[in-house]
Amino acid sequence: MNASLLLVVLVAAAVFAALVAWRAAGARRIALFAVHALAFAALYLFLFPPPGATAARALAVLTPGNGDGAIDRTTTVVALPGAAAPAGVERVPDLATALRRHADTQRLVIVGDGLPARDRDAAKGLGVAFDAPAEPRGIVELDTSAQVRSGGTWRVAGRVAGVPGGRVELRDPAGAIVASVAPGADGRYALAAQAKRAGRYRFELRALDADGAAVDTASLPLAVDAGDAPRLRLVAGGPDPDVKYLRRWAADAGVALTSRIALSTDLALRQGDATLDAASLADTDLVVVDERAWASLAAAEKTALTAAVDDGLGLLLRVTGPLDAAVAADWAAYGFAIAPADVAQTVRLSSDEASPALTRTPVTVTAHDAIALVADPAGAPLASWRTHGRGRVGVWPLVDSYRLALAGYAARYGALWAATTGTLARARGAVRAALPATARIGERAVICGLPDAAEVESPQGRRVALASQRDAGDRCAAFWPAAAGWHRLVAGDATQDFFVRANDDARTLARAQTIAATRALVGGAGGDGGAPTKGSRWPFFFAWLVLAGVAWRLEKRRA
Amino acid sequence: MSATQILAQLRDAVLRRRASIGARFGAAFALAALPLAWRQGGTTGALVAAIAIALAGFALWRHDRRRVDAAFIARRLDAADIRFDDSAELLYRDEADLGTLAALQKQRLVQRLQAHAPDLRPAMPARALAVAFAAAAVVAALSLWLPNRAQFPHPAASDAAAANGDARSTQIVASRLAIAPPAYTGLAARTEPALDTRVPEGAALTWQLAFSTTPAAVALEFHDGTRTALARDGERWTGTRTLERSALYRVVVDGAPPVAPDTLHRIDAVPDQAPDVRVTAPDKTLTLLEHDQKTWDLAFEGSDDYGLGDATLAITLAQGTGENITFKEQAIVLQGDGDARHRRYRHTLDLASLGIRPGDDVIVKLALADNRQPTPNVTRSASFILRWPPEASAESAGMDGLVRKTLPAYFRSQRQIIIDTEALVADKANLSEEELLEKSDKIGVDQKILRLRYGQFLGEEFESSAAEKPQAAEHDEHDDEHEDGDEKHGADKRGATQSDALTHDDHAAPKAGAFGDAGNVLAQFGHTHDHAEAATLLDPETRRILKAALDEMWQAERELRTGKPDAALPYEYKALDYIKQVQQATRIYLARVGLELPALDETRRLSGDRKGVTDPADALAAAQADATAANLAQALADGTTPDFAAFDAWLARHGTSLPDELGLRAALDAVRRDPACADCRERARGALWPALPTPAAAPALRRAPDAQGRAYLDALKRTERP
Repeated sequence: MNASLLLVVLVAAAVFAALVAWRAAGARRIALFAVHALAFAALYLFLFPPPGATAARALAVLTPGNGDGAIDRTTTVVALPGAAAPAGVERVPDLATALRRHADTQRLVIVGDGLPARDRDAAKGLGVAFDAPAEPRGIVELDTSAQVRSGGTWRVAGRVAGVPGGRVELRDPAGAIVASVAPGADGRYALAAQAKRAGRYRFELRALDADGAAVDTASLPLAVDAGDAPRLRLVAGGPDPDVKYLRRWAADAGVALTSRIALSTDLALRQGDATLDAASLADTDLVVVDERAWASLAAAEKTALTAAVDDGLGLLLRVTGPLDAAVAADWAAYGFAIAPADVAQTVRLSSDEASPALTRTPVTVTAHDAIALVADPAGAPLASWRTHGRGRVGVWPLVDSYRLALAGYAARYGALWAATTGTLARARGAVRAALPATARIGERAVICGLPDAAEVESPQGRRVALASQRDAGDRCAAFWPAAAGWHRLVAGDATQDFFVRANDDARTLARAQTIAATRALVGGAGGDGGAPTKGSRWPFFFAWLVLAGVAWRLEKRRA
Repeated sequence: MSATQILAQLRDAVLRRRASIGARFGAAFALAALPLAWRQGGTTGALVAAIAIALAGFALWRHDRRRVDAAFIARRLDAADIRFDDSAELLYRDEADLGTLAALQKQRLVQRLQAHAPDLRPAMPARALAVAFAAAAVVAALSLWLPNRAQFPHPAASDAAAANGDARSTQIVASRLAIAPPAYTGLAARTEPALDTRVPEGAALTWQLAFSTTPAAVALEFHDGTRTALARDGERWTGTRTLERSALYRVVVDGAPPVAPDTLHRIDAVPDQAPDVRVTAPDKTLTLLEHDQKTWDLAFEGSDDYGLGDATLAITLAQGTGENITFKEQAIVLQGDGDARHRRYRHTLDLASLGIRPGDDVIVKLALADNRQPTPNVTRSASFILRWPPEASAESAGMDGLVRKTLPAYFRSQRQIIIDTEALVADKANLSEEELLEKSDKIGVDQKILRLRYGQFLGEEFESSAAEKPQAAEHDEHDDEHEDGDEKHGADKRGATQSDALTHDDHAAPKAGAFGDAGNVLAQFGHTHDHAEAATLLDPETRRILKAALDEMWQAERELRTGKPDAALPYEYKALDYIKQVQQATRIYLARVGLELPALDETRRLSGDRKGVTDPADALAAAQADATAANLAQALADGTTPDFAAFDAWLARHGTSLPDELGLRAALDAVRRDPACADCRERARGALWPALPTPAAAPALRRAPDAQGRAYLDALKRTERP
């Protein structure tokens, strides 16, 4: 009832009461005036009752993990499956059913851990109030590398909560500890391990408290893929330990290697067909040349190289000594200005004191748009690359990265060169679908980047065809896993594995994710208060009845 | 009869009747209960039941007597006869207490009572008794015919087959494992009820098992194929085995259903660790001898898990330098102080008694053994050296009279020659010229032999070259004499070649020199009989000094053979000086045997001719890791039958390199027994993880850009700054 209407009603009441009470006299007049005015107001309110408080119909939803929290019984209470509900509380199979039964619900008050994934869509469009419980104790965030290749280093990072002064351990499938770290002050941890050959493995992440007792355990499924076989061509001006270890790594990693190592004029160690002409360069993915070999290349070979790089070939220029002016000019055409400079020749790749220090040629490499391939712990780039046409050109001034392999860090050496090859080589890898990070039974998993026809094979061998739909250029499909274990996405010839967790697998992680997702729903548009319900009018009727009786009594002539 | 008497009679009659009814019912109860008790508990049970029934009966009878009192009889009288007018209790009250009317009534009642006393006895409940007896009879009959547990026969051997045939599996009813650790460990023997345990290595294990069926034979089958048969001892089966290594085993029975659950038990043998040696003094591995140090203090600490044994200190004295080092070794057994597990050892070495001199090293090492039987574990500490730094080599331009023991035998000759020459010079006055020449020539020949001996080191041949001619012709015949004399002098093995060489004098002329034949000048203009490959290789500096020495010796020989010993002396001294310098050289290299390098083609060398040079086979091949474990993991993952035999062979060779070999065997055993169990396969794959090889990091190719990406890159290129 807005102010102007109220004013009109009051004035009308006063006028009416004055008219009626005019004829009376003295005290009776005042009394009659007051009573009639109030009766008028009561009658008006009886006929046009003020709208009731916008008590938007709220629904209290009990979700699993609600423990013994106090339940506000003034609102309607429903309990989802798995929630501890006292007797008398209505049990519903899911939130959509509850909303159908209580169609006028405008607000949800969620008690417990939060809505499971299937119910979060139903809560959209309603106002949500959620008193989040304390974060569960254990591993609450868990992320692993998206794709791991055989022999590669893979990382797992995340957060633990409620374990001050504890440790996080990564255990291999046999149960031995692979890596162990103390989480930071905010609970964040990051661990790395080396993968073995292609296959599916179950690692285990364990959170320990300060006394060493296990607080939480989460299994960490890892699907390792076989590496691609890029075609590498090595043209070196002389035999070099770096060249030797690079060839060894390439042979062990399955890289198709062709090489030409010059020994003298017209004398070279050759492996495979290492000519640099257009036809053979079209069959190569990465060419590694050093400045001595470049100086002896023919002009036709150089133009063929440049044309191939424009077409997508990767080129790595190794700087092992001072550059000739001609070589520097040729390389400047690729966008790198390499000039001798007095820079520190000893560099480290990591802050680990045990790993050996490497040497680099005293040159500065400047390019206006180069990206670092290898950086030192402070972040300064040690090797960099830039795009040239459709291909990529990199400059490598480190002369003895083989020291990593010599000192026993063969895994790091391999990872360094695998990363370099992967960055620079021609891009012809297969398109891979983006798999869900965490999939659980009963939750919707979204797989994107699919080709037209794709199927998912369950651990029992049952195949389900995915109904995919193109949405903003990306073809996605949803999948509801029914069984836990390794599932396989089959798209034509390519297969990818992903793991579906059972409900009791990594429970703390599931709880933390539910709490976080429900917290993201909080707020929401609860409608505009909903249809204002009319307040009750009958109290005003009784008030008018009483006041009318008093007025009658006052007006009654003394008989 | 007075009323009281009559009432008493009535009461007794009622009591008797009631007792007899109770006794009959009691008899019926006993008829039912006693056979049952006898069946259940034998004679003792029956007796106990009988006594209980009797006691109960007695208690009931006493209770009944109290219950049937005056009021009871009065009520019964009233109920039995209407003549008593419901006032029979008056009969029990004193007349003095009663009023007139009541007394009158009492008299009347007494009269009626005396006239006729009714029968108050309860009727015998014939039908109830009959039913009770019938029921009791039925119960007794049933109890007599039910099987009696107390008379169950023990399972006789003849029933074994029948009993075994009924059971589907054998259970281990009781198990006991007695562990007797080896005596030297000092651990107490213990008994465990479980079949999985950890024991010290070499412990004797005694199993005692009881089964639910009766097998014909029981054995324990171990993972390495051995079996330990258990012998029957009454109800139990016992067997003994000494455990040297951790083992997995399973109980197998013959003549009975297989044991269920069929678990693979594991016994870990904890090996006896070798003792731990720490050297407290000296603190550095190399200690230099102090100026006036006479003793060297040594202190060690040793600890072991079960007990320490002998401690032997090995002392080695190394004397000499370079290639001429001699060793003297000595071993002392040390007694330490401390307990069996932790001891300290101290020893003080007396350096003078060892005989240490400047330039010598004393090396000590402690070998500590523990008390393990049969072979103790021995740990050796690091070697610690005490060195007396050698004096700086003194300049010796002449004979200083010090004959060092480290001189090789043949190096002494130069001094001898000097001694002889000096003696000759001193004696010159007494000799005639001919004698002088003769003696001097003899010494000259010695010098020649010595020169030729040294020349071998440089690869020269032993005999003199043909170009060399004796200086004075008149000494020719002396040469021959002296050559024969040489054979007398020389203890040289090459004496024969010496005479041979001097007789032959024709050598084939070499071919015309080809390009690059600079080294062949000697062959062109002379000939050599050098055998360079047979030479001892010296480093260039030493060669230079030795050559200088040879030159001096040659000069001395010339002077000596021409009869001028005093002129030869300076040359001899210089030669000795050079020889001593060579002796200081501590390294002499020997040519490697077995290295057959291809003959160098001097004609082609350094000419750049590449005709006939072929590509060598590329030695680079991918590393072939042992794929047995990887294949097994693959087969386990695929669900196919793995090749266990090949993997067992691999495990027999490489099993010790795995951290938990037994766990892997147990997991594979589970897969073998139940090939369809996916969980077992998963566990086996996990246990295989340490055995899998780690491949080299494999690169991944980037995803190919789509049309939009390609267009973007092309546009970038067009707008690129040059």
